[in-house]
Amino acid sequence: MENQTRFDLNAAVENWRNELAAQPNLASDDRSELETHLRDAIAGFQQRGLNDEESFWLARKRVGQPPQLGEEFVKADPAKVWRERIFWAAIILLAIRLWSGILSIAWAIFQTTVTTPYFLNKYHSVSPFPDWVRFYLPVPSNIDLYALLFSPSSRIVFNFLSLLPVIGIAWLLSRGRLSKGFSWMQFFFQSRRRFLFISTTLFSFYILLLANSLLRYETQSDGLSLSFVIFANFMSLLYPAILIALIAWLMPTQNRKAPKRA
Amino acid sequence: MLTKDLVAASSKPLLLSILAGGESYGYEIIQKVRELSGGQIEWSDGMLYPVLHRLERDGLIDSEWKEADTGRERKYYFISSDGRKALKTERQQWLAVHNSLCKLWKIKPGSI
Repeated sequence: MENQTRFDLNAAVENWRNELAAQPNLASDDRSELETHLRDAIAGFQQRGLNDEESFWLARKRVGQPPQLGEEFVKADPAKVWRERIFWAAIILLAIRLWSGILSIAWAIFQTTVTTPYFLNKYHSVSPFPDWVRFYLPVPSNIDLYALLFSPSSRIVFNFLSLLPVIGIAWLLSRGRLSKGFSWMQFFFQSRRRFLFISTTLFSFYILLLANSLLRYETQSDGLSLSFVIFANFMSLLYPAILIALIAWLMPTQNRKAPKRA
Repeated sequence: MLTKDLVAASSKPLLLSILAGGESYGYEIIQKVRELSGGQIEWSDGMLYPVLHRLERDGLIDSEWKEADTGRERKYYFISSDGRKALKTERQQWLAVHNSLCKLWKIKPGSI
């Protein structure tokens, strides 16, 4: 008689993969290698006429218990997991840096084009809402709104909110959930040379922009000496530069080698 | 069945010899070893990879993720030039042991 509950092979493999992912000693590369092995073993048993469920359990037994696998793998290369962790940490820090840079530029543009002209406009100096609305509803006046927008506490809230997407994407990526939507990212990370080329190009472009703005700084000097401003700006470049170097150095090696055919 | 020590010691020449015959991946290697030894050498599947990774770290083999005919990606291993050199010395050493034992047991080398 057939089983009442049908065995779902894909769900079983998925479960097994989650079990592997819970092992702190297995790098993601090791996990995918073990998964292809499991799938090969399952296919092998299926070819010998076993059903899905039997094939899965036999293959699982063959591959071994996840905790033991973790122990054995970490012996072969104890630093591998940490290399991977630091690699991702550097990517996340760099992404946060880039994102906050983009946001601060966007915020500056927004301020100069929208909010500042709006608040400077004397027709709007009381409230954006007509009198009859303000009569019935306690809407904030423009002065209140301005204070709210530019208060230190709202700054903290904006900063926190602006980091949420970065944290969310990083978390999803580290879980392998976004592997399809983010396959284009592989373009940057396919080879160390390409990554370094793209990042140094963007970086030098940024330095040029910075140098340009520093040249203009001289004309509207406000107390700080120019050499100090140049020093401070270029010191702030050190941080992303270190991150880029770290990422390039720790980049997973498996896709870099040109295949040698025997 | 081989003892644990012997399995550990023989894995390096076995892996290098298999890969010297062409690139391969974990599952295929295990099948081959089982087949070659007539079931005498039984490697546990999950333990093979740490050995492969160690050889890779020593520069004796290289690896690459490639799409297999099933459409899924597989990690293929292939031997490096350092690996071929290492295989040569391994071969000399194992044959030295083998020949000495054969002489002691008064059997011709090659006939088991």
